[in-house]
Amino acid sequence: MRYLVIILFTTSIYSLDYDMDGVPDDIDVCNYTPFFDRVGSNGCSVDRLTLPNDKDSNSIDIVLGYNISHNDESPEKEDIYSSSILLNYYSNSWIYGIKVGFLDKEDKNSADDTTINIKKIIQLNQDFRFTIGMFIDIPTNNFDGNRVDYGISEAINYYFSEDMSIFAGGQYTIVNDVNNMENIHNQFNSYIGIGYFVSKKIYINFYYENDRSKFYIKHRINTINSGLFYQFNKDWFASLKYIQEIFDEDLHNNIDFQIGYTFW
Amino acid sequence: MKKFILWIFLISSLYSNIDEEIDKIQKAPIKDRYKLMNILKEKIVKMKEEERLKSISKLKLVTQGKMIKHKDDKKRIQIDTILDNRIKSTLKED
Repeated sequence: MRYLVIILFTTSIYSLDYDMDGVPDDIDVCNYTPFFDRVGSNGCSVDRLTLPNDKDSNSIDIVLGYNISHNDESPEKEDIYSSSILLNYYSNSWIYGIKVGFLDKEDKNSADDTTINIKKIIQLNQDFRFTIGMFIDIPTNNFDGNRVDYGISEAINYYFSEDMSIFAGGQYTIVNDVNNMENIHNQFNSYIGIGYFVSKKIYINFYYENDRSKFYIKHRINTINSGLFYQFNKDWFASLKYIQEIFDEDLHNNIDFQIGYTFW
Repeated sequence: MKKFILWIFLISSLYSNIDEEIDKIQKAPIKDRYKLMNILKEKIVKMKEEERLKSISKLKLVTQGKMIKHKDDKKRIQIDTILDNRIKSTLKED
């Protein structure tokens, strides 16, 4: 307690230094210098120190997913099963991902569309992150009129405490598919939610999502989503995601399980 | 004279513990603090991980008046990427 009082007293006397470079914030030209950068008198980086056993900031993970979707609207009320393989490459502030999938629908197996995406992470400060990305859906599913779709995505994550965050985002897809029976337009979805680290190994989130279908005649789809992430050890992790449609007579729901491995 | 005082700080910092070093940095003239901080960073880099985290935590308590957040941005980004994996096909298009 005495130590804390001394610390708080000391802090109140001396100017705050957000990036801990020795240059007080009021005269620091570069306020968000990474801690292991050595700085000059103006507070800006001169060079960077490397930790002895510091790993490269690049990493790769592979994620295998299995998905069950239920739709009350379909005549047979049949569940649809799908599986996917997702590969993510993280390179500093960039993320490159590719996802291939397989559908098992009405006893017919087929490939799902293949998605390739690139995301750029912009860390605005220690607690606030902005992510912008672009993606392309390659028409590997064999339905008639399937074309290349592409779009952009954005997301913000704000950690208002060590364990808790709020996030929001959206995705706009330019749909080029052709359908003779129904008119098709571009797809747009947006979401907002809250995430919480229950422990270092467990993370949960809840969010609301609103989605405009690519079909003109369809109403907007509102869903409540929940996600769980569990870190088994340094390399292995799993996630479980449940989606429940709301405000509709014929409800859809979807459960998605993923298991992943981080290579480095 | 000022250079001499700075040299005293620099040499003594090699043999002092983290609390003393933080205290010295805080008491040093503003224009010299960044040099001492650069030296402290060099020492922190060479520490073992646990010791390093404790040192940074103490430093943050002094310089920012709050405890350091032991967060792993890399892990957070990975989790957000995994859970943000949109389920686009079956739920939304049938």
